[in-house]
Amino acid sequence: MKNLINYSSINTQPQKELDDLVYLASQIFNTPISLISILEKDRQVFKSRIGLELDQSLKEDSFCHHTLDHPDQPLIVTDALSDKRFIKSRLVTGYPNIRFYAGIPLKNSKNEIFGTFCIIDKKPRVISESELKCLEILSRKAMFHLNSREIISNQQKVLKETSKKIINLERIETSLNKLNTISNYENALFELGFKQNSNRFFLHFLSEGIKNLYPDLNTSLEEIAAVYILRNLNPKQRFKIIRRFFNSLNSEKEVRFEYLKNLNGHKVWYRVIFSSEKKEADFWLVHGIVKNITYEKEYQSALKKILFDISHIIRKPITTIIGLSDLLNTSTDLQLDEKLEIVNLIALASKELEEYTVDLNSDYQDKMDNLIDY
Amino acid sequence: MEIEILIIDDDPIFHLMISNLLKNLGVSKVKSILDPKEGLKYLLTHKDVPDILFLDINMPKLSGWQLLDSLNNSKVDLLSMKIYIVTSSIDKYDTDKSKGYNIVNFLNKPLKPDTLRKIVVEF
Repeated sequence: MKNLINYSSINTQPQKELDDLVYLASQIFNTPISLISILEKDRQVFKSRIGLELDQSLKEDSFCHHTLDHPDQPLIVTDALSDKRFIKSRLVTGYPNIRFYAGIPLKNSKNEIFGTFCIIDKKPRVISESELKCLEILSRKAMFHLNSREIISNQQKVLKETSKKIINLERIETSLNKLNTISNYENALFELGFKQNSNRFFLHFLSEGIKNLYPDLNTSLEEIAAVYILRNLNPKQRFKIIRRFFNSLNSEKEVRFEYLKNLNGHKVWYRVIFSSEKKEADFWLVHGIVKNITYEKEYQSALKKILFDISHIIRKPITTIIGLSDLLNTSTDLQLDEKLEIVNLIALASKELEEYTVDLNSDYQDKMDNLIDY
Repeated sequence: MEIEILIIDDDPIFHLMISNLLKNLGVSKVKSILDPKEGLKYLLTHKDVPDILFLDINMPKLSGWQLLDSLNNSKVDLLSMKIYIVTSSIDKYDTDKSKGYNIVNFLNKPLKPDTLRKIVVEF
């Protein structure tokens, strides 16, 4: 039952159509009761009914639930009192005192039973083949109306989900735009087209960030199209990069290089990463990014300086102190004045170490302050 | 024959330490040079090179590497002496660089008495 959409709670359309079908059934078969029952886990709910003063019944009393045992057959009970399945049903022993029952299973689009279309009499009777055929036709109509609700409801779900996706896409687009604005401070994305025969580049796209990266650039597109990156390289570097670019056309491998540029008296480091994608016999798309990596470079050089200072400046007095201590330990024939001299040297080295650490600390503090300024 | 050792290092304390340690090991022919330029000149002008050379790297005016390069370009017979780079540096750059000179050995300061003993005994 879990697979059923909530048929019983649908009381808008197609209630009228269902009521009409139930009415037709009672007229055609001349039965006191006709109904459309929706099966739930523990009960059945009468979606449309004629001649019955109940709107539901428990599963244990239900006739309709028995259609589940033979999903492809109508359920015909000619006399409930001679059928042990129903003899104790309260619908038989009490109101409405069912004796005759004929029900056709109603199925959803997945061929699962969700209800029945049935006719009921208070006295035993039989049903002819042509009557059964009429009942089947009526039940098919009922199924169509009920399932049209299911289809519409499914489509509404799809629509809801689609609209959610669209809203999400809009959000993503907004975020991307914001990110793009922020990333523009340090990055520029580009897409170039390249034709090897004519050895020409075509600028397809260049993000706004280029203006921050190269404030000195005259940003007419034609000028940038002359592979703006390469113009900032020295001839030797340019030759090397061009060669790597041509190699990348065949391998589609990523090419990355870094270069230094003097920008209004400041040293600025750039990193360029690009890769080429063959689109036609003589046409490539080149995608890439130009980043300002000055901060990264400054950071690296600060780290290198720290490593160098540890290795050379700090370690020197330390090795002296250890060496002299070893000397005191191992040399048994030292005179008192020699020993005093060594102790004095250890003291000097210790003082030296102390001064170095103070100096280095202030050096690093300056470097750190400079880095924060970026 | 007695071992001859040359030490080129701008740090006088290193000279004091190593010559004392060598004295304990019974080595008396030790020459100490503080100025690397003078050390280079000594090696270039003396016909008989020492048996062992202890060479510092970070020295003013002329680094140990520069001194080695000058020796490489000279007629000094580098194969007839054992060269030890002795430095307080633990910088990977320096150890990697010493591997480029296949005639040199790399030692870290402080030089342990045991290390020095082995060098002298094995010679």
